Amino acid sequence: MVAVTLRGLRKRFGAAEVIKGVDLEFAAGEFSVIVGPSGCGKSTLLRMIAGLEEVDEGEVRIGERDVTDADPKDRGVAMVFQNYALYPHMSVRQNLSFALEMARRPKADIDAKVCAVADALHIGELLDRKPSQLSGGQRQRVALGRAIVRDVGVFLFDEPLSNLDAALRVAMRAELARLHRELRCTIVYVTHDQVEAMTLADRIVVLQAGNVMQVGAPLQLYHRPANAFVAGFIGSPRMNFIPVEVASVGPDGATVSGPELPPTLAPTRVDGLAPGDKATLGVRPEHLNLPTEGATAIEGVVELVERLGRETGVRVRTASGLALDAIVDGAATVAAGERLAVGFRPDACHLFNAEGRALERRFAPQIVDAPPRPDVHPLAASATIASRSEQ
Amino acid sequence: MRRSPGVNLALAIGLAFLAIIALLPFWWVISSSIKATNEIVSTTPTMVPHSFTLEHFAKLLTSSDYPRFLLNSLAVSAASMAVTVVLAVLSGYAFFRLRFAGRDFLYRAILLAYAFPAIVVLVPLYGMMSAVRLIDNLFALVVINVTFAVPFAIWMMRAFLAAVPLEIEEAARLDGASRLTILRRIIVPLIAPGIASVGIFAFISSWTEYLFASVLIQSDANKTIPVGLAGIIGQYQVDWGLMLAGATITTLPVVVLFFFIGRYFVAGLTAGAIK
Amino acid sequence: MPRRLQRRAARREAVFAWTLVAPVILWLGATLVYPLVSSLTLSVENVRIIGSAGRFVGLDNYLSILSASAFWLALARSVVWVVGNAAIQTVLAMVSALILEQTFPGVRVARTWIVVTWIVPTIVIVIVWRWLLSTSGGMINPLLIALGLISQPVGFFSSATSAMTSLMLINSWRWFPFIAVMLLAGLQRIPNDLYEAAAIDGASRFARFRRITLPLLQPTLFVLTVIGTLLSFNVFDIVWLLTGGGPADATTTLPILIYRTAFKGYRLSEAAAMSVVATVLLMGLALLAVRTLAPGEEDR
Repeated sequence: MVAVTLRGLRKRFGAAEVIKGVDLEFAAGEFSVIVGPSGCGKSTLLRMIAGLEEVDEGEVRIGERDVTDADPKDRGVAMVFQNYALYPHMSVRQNLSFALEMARRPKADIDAKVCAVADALHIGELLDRKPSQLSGGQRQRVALGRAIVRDVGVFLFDEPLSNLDAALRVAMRAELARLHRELRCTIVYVTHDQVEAMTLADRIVVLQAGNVMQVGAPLQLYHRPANAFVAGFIGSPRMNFIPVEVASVGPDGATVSGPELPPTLAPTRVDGLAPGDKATLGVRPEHLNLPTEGATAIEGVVELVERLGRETGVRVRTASGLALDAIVDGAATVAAGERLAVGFRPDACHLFNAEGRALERRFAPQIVDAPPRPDVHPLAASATIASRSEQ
Repeated sequence: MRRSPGVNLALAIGLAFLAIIALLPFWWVISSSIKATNEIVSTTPTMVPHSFTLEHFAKLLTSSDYPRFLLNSLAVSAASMAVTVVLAVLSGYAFFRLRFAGRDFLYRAILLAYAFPAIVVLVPLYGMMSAVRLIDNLFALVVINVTFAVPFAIWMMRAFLAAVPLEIEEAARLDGASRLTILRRIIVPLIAPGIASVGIFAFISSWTEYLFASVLIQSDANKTIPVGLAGIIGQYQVDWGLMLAGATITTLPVVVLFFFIGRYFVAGLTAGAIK
Repeated sequence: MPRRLQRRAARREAVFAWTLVAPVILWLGATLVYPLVSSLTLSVENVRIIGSAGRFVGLDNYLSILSASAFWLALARSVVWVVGNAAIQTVLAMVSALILEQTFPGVRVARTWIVVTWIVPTIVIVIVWRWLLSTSGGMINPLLIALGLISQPVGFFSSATSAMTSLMLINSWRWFPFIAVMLLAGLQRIPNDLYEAAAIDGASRFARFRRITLPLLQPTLFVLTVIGTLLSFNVFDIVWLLTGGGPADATTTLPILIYRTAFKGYRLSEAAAMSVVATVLLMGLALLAVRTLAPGEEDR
């Protein structure tokens, strides 16, 4: 298994620059997920690694090799496409053996490998069927099998679960996680679904408009988002953002206040903040609740109630028009049209400066990167993650 | 959506009308080719034959060169079909799936071929064939037929190629297939209906070609059916029976071909368009 | 970082593409481009019989043909021919396509036999109609008399208008199935959802045809009409074999005139000049067609 390194990658489509100088390292054996909204360039980035899109500037390295110039077939990568891209006129067996035929492996080897992979993915009985005779989930497994059969160093996934129904998606997620544990392969996985990212990734790369917004372990991004974009993207339902003004700064944090928000101490570092600055306070819906002692409270009218049994989603509209989403206990009795106050504990909040950059939280959990696994290929010894994005 | 009875009636009438104008003339011809001569030329024509004779066919097949014409036509049409298909598939793939400088211009230029009246190239081509000693050689006809079939054949390939998702080609590239292998093992099998359609189109165009066949072929032994049959008709003063027998036999190969592959052709043309 | 990378991969693709199109280019170059150039040179010489030598005479041939009424009359007849064919074929093809698009028992088979007039060689078409329209033994005259439409057998090829009309009808009969099948393909590309939505919105069948079918079919229709026009201009064999250009030149369209001038009148260079003029006229029309046919932004 090998690492993938991207340096200074840029790509233009016509006059528009879609990848604006990306530097990333995907460590060997790691499950890395590139996540971002539609149009952010994540698929393009993946295709540049595969060699299906040309690189305008920059370098792609797989293992130690510079493959920027190389044909897709010479890069040693396998890819699972969003629409599976199975060969419709070939049986499942032929689909799985195609790449090995191209590599001119002996027939006996091919047969053995195909059987092994088919068994691992539970598609053994489907070997003689054609793709059109398979269900969505089965096709997905065949697409997966086609990649695994090749013994490559890197697996690329382009939104592989988006065409599946919800139940299948959950099942396949578990399947992919298991496969990764067993094969210890380097995976670069692209999705727009942050739940997939959070559950599958060892490391997440958040991409927006061709720029890397943050790289880190899932919980790192959850607890310590580097900017408002990542804070709003990771975590569902979306974080609440309250426009505030800085009243004062001190060693304990910044005191901010807003139209309906009483002066609140946000326990963060305060570098670069001055009284009078505009800022944004962020609170996740799961941290907004019916107010208790010592909590800051905001009042408003209940606009929407969604009862899910285990929890209840509540949307409160304040007098100034701000909408706040809260997740409260499933047994709570709230009704639309009521006046309601929601509160949060100050150490649960995030603070962002006028440019959207997060101020470092003093009390949030610090998630260190997982230590490198001892049985990973020595070539990938550099388990430190470097992530720089150009401004 | 349910159709009103009125619309159903209109549909039935329309279909009947189409059947009459498309098929009735052939019924007349085929059924009359087995009638005795006096019944054919009688002033009161009959829908169903009252007499039965195979003398016209016998005469056609034994005392004329028709069998020879048939063989020539088959050879020329088959060859034209094969060459057209190969050229159309290869260049179609290049025009519709690859990027290269001058692609659009070249494609337009090729389609422009239809702007030229065949007449324009007739004389110079005669000169050309004469210079390379291909006059009275069936190969010259193949050359011409391919020239006039290929531009449209390439255009036909477009819809069929568009129906093959690009991702499949990309998957094959990642699997290590060379461009040629992709063309051979992935694209060609998946556009088989398109190939059949182009083949049929080319075959039929060659089968019916008259102008060049009449000018470039001179000896009776090398004539194709359109020219040969026209000659027979001129030769025997208004021998209707012979003519009708000739028409019947000439229609048969294409109808038989169509009977087997016809629905793929039509289905291919229409389905190839559905993405 | 330099942009050399883009060129390397793109060049590989371009080289492969060029090897694929090279055979076609060479083939068409030899069989079309060269003869065209040859025709041009021929038209400015004074060659009479095929194979004989000629010397340069400048635009003499052009002047003589453009001042002869025969040329303009033939051109006029060609225009009539083209327009008449386009009208009849389009209507017949449209009606057929609409019928064949519906679902009813036998429609699949119908879609196959509808093309029989197209797949049959022209010589057969000629035989069929020469016999059917003849005054001795033909079916049409007795049929028309029986229906009460005429009282006396008509010589379809004996008068100018009836000869031209008969030819146009026969040619259209021969070609409309081909256009019908192409139109059918276009019709089937229109999603059924649109019709259903329109029906719910209260649109009658005719309204659905006018506001959905026609606009969405329009590009295909346009392209087929233009191609059909180009091809029908060039039709030679049906006219030649049925009427030979007669009676008394009534059906002598431009291709017929060119053929006669070259092979019966032994005035090769004049014929070449006429061809060149015809080509130039058609080019204008073809450029229009090609702009609609050429690949757009959808291709890679």
